[in-house]
Amino acid sequence: MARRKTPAERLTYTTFTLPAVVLYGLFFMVPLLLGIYYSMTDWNGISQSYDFIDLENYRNLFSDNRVLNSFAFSLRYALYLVLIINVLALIIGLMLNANIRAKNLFRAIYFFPAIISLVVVGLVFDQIFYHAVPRIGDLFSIAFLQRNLMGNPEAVFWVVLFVSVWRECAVPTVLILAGLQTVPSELIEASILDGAGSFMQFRKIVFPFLIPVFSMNLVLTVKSGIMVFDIIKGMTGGGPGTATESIGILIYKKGFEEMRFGFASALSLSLFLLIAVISILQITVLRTKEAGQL
Amino acid sequence: MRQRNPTGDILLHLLLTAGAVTILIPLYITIVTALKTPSESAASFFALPGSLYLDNFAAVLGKSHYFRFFLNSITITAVSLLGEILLVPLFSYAVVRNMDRFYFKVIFMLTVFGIFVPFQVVMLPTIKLFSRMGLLSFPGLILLYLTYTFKKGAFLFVGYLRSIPLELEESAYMDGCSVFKTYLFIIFPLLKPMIATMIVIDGLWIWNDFLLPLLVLNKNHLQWTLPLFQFQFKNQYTFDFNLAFASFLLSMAPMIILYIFMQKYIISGITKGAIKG
Amino acid sequence: MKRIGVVMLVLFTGAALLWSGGTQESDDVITLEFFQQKREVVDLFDEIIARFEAQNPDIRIEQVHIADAGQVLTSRLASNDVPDVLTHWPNNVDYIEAALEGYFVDLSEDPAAEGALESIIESIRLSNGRNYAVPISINTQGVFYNKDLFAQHDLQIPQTWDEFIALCDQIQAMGETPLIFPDKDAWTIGQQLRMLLALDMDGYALIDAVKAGKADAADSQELKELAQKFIYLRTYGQQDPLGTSYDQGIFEFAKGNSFMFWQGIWAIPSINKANPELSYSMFALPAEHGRKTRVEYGVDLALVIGNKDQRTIDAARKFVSFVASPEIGQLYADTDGSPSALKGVTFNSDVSGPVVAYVQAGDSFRNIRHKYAPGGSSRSNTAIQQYIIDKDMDNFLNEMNMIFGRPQQ
Repeated sequence: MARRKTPAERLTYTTFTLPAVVLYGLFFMVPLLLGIYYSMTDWNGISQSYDFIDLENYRNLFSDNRVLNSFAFSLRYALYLVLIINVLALIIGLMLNANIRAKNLFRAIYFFPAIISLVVVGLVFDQIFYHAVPRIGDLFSIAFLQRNLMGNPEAVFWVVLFVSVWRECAVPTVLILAGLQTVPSELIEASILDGAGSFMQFRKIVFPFLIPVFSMNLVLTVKSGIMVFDIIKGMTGGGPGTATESIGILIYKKGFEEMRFGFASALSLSLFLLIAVISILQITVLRTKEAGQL
Repeated sequence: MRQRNPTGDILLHLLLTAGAVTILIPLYITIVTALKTPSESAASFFALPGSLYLDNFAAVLGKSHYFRFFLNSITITAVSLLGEILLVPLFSYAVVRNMDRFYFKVIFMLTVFGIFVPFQVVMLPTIKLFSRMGLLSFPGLILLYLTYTFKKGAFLFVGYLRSIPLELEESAYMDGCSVFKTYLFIIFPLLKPMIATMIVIDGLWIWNDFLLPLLVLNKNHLQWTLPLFQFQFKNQYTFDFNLAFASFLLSMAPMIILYIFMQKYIISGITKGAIKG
Repeated sequence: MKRIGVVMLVLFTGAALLWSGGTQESDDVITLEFFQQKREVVDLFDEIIARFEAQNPDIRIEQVHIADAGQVLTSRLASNDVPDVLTHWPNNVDYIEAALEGYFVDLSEDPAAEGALESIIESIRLSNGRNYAVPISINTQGVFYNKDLFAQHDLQIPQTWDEFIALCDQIQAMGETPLIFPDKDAWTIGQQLRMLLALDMDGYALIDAVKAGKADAADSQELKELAQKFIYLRTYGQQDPLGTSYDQGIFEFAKGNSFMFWQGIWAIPSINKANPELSYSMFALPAEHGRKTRVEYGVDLALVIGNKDQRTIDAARKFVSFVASPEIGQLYADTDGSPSALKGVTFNSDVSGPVVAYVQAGDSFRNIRHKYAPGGSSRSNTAIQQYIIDKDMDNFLNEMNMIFGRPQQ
């Protein structure tokens, strides 16, 4: 039981929160409220005056094919990103946790992509897909690879996804690896004596220890998948056509290229709602799962 | 000790090596391209350079204020992180110990909710506000980073603090310690693992960030950071991609060097706070 | 609590000190921020600035050329923080909106704009009858061709559309690449669309009719044929148009990997940079359907002065007048390969000469983009690129209706 706090202590606690309240309130909440307000105007981004148009931007969202297309893209992209990263992180994590030579070297290499900036990642891969991959295609006469995959509207989805996985797998892997360290080795040895198969051993003994890390990874990858912007901006700009137009890219185009900032704000807020709903669902489901397991 | 299975062992190493090669190929290409002349690159994109050709680096350094940008990046990252270490755990501690009170609950919910807000919503309003307050500058950028670290930071620190038993601080209170002293001497040291995590995660984010410096620091190019420089350079020397790659490498170099020497701490830093032993 | 206060104070003073370590200048020298958006002329402006500063020791010009300039400028204007001097494109929607909003100095009666040709200023006058820009150069587009390759194979410059196609066939029959299309960058396709809209059909009339609600783009047979022409032309392109960016396209043409390259004359400085030895020139793209061959023109780069305090404006005016002087105008035109929008500048670029001759002879039409609905330019780029990919004519025509500004029901 917590001790009752004296008024002086309460005041101290409140003081602790003041820097946060001032900074966060002024530099985040105020702009956020303004952003919500702009989403109900026809502001073009630069004019000093604009009209309040109620929910018209929101109504227009759903009659715009490109908006629907971008939601479809982002959701599909997020789905694959989550699946691939979480499975891959688990596999790599288990491999790196095995009793192998040069463990630390491998660990260092697998974390490496996380330290490179997205801008550089985009630019380097851009050059690689233009100069290097087609040469591999020529070398082995694979017609599919002889052209720049970023110009292929079917393949470009996988190209962007590949680069995202390349870059974003590192942190989840390291987290899984750390989760594996929490599995008591006696338990594993005991299960070996019991003659449990590797898969059973993993499912019944190891996996429960990984659930907290796993749920964290899930929430983080879902969010970064749906909000994807930087990698696509750096590599394809949403193209070719609308093949990689994520919600984030469309917001950018509507806001800065077509100067429909009010509309772009409405679009970003609907993106926010989407992520919030998915994340809350996820967290609730995972919480109950977690509680059931332990 | 587990028994070694030789075939499995070889397979494991093969798989791991294949993955490692996939990861390192872009780095390899960056390095060799930066060391080649344009004609060497045209002859073969993958081959090692014929000789150690360092003129590309000299050219990049000669055409830019590289060291200035490097210093700017360090300053911005370091000061933002220092501010975060001072403020975010303090805030989270107050929240955790007062979760039963409306005020603390609400401010905590608001910070966590910020995680889900796409930057585009707040972008123009923020720049407008900062401009009006005369904050489109180094200190403004640092304040902005500091503000944004509260979102994920408060969420992670509060989660971490929940796992710390109350008894520890109860006894400190009994000894007559004030709330602040208890925080400083009892709680703060316990938070080191989580602080390590935040330094790595937010440090990488701030160091590599492109959009915020672009929007806040565009006026004066002496205030630019490495990511700004690097994008800029590529834009201008697009037909001399050996030069562009040399600039990529130079902007990655500080982080790579730091990583080579600190990789143990960086990797374990990430996980320290995430896994509550 | 005190301690935290002290630490905070130290922290932020430290940051402030580091930040203020910049340059302090004396009162009699003024530094102008020159927000320069055109990548191709960064080096050229460095030279112009050096000459200007030599003559005006009391004014320093700092050229800022930044990635994503359009986005940065919008955020700057949103916060009422216009740069001192800037380069802009007077047909762009963001220029027009910003000018009408009062961010730029009205140059209608300003001596700084006296260096520019009246007829050209007339063409960029805004809906309120005022002008806010000093046009420096005119752009147009046409087909670049590699002179050496043409001479080597004894190829002739085509005068009609049929000759053009025959030429492409001939080159292709030799196993070579006739044209290069940098379709990865949607704007390059959008640029071609705008030109063909006026060259191969009467796009001006169609847009007016659509705007007035009297026509539907989906009913225009000419527009459909025009869209199909994009697909057809790409059969003469390199292997992988959608995989080639603008820079890569320039690079390929400059290295002699294609015989021709349909592009705007703004590519000239970049082509020269990619291969200084290349011998090349241009011809006008012939019109189809027996229409007269004409070329597009539009104001390319213009200088704009930010609406700020008088001292800054005066200094900026000096710089603008300097750039708009015949001497500097000549330097700009010769380096950029573009016809000048300034008085007293002669045009002598070998490369773009044949195309510019059409503009000089009056066989030209104004870039149609100013007829689009606001934001139409960016939208049309994506629409035509998407059409090249999926050949979905209905979707394309529907988009064109929006781009032309069809009234909403």
